[in-house]
Amino acid sequence: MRKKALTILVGALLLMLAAPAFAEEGAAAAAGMGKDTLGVLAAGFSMAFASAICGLAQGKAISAACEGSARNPGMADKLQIMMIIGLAFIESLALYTMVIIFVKM
Amino acid sequence: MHEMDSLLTMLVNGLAHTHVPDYFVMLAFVMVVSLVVAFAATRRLSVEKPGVLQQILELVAEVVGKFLDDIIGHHGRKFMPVIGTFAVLILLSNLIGLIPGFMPPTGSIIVTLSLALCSFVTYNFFGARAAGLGYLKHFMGPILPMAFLFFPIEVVSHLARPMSLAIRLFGNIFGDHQVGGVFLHLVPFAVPVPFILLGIFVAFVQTLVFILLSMIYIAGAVEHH
Repeated sequence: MRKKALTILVGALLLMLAAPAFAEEGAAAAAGMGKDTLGVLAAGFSMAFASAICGLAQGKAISAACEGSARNPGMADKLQIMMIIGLAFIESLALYTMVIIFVKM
Repeated sequence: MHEMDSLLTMLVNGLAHTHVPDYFVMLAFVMVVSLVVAFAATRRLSVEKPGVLQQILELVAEVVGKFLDDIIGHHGRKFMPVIGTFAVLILLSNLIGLIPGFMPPTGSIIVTLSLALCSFVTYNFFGARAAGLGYLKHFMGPILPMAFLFFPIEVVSHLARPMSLAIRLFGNIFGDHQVGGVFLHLVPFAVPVPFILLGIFVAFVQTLVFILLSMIYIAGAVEHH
């Protein structure tokens, strides 16, 4: 859910930035794509990839933790802590992408 | 998107004709609030009739203490002051961003990086104090003749820890704040409520993650080989 929201957010931001960029492109279309447009495209696609694969990885981690605590409910507390730490590590990979986008934009 | 300063910062800068950064004012505000709350709560401690503040702070101390016992071990309570300070400061910093007109201090990379560096210095200090020069063995890998290979890798991996702590906290809180802001702009009624709930959840989880990782780093530094 958070990843989805993050993607929507970045998409919205990119659209806001993209409108003037495309307007400028209209004049300079003959010369090919401008640097801004490519940057916006790259930012959107990189965040999409990062969110998608990070979501898959987190889903795998959560399903493993759920299976583990269903088989052995006594371990549920420990597993939950481990799952949260693992999720934090996985999630930070997508956040690196977001930070790079904000630094480079 | 242009970011506006929070109301308190505008007030301070307007009254004093200064250009104090937003995160600085908000962090100072959070510190003052937590100090005042702590003083107010410890003014009248009672076992029979604990006040509301006392119960809340006891809950925080209990949760942090339980994690310390679980992760570091029987002497884990020794690190209660530093971990508890991280917990209270980061939790309040995260939560204050949910009030309209305030910016979360942890939504600034400068604040999170300094918190992460505090954690870095802390665990290295406790590790060096626990093992003396033997602390260098943590960087040498399992076999001594291979140490020249392990040493650079270990140093880089230790230096990556504060960076990842800082970027994780910053990215989550900043991103969450931006999501809330965007949805509040789009539909300023009812629609942002789930995102505010998500924000509360993220504030707690990120505090938990920060203190858990700090504890794991301390546990790794002070353990005996």
